[in-house]
Amino acid sequence: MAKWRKAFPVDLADESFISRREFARFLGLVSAGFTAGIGYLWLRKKPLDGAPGPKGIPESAVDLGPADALKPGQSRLFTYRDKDDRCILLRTAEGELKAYRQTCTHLGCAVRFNGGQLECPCHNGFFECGHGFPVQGPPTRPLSGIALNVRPDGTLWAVGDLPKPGEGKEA
Amino acid sequence: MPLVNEEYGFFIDPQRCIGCRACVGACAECGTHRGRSMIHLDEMDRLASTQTVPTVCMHCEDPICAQVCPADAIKRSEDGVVHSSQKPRCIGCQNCELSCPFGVPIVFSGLEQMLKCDLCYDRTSEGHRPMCATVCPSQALLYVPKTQIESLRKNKPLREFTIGSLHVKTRNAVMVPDDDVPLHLDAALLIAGGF
Repeated sequence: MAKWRKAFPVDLADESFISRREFARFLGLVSAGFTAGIGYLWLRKKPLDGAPGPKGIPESAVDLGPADALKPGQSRLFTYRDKDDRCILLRTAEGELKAYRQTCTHLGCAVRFNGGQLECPCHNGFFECGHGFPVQGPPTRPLSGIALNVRPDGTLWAVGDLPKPGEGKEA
Repeated sequence: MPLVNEEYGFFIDPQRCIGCRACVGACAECGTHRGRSMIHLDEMDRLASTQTVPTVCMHCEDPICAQVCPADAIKRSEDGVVHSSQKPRCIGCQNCELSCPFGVPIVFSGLEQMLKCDLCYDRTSEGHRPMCATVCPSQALLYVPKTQIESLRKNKPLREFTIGSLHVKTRNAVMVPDDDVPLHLDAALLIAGGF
């Protein structure tokens, strides 16, 4: 028997007829189930607020070595949260230390520092160094920044994620 | 007690038909047929013979009318009766009319629905015989227990037909002189031979 014939049987006994009342009951039960589920999640909302983040990794500080190791226009790579979280540390021409995630916000290529700007070689995207804003090419969102801290002993530490530029202005 | 069961059979004997058209009138009188007759009474060769042949639905085991229905409107109940098309589904496409090897289904214009012999299901399911079988004066249409037919008739019931390349097994039977050889009909050959 063809597969479609099972859905449209010749014999009345094989036909699975769903009445309007049965269909309405099914819809009602499913809707009630969803409503109950949403209510349950709402009740569970407060305990969930204190739960750890999605990856369960708290903010941590990573030692990046001596703060004066880089000269203006130089850069080096480091990893922050794990070995796949690749970041770039650079010293701008003005002597300011900046760190960004190395992932281009266009299609995820690794960006590099050309001495003046961060450039993505895949599609000729460019980001300025001050805040990671895109200035040329296809990227439209700024790079994700890493907060840096120089401790009294002269060592440089990555201490967390910078808020995205533009965020917090409304708050 | 319902009369649509394995015990009872419908036997059509064209040799006994006298062409009185009582079956045609009675069919229209059946409660659910609402004035529409679904029996075909055909004259074979009016110039040469008075032979007439009543045709009611043979209620095929594998009803080709239902197989070709694009709207899934023709259904067979558990007792083997192939019913008229379901009104909400039938689209009046006439596929069933064209496909039936016996030429039984009729798509009524105006109604835009296919109606066919349903063995007077409203009657047979309540213990009455089909209207046509109750009125046929020569018992060319006979509805009796299958075990009785041998004592009633000399000829044999035939329930298998080969029509062109189509092999059909039916619930109803046609009485023929010899049932050893399945009846083979080929309309194309008949037309070519000028009947």
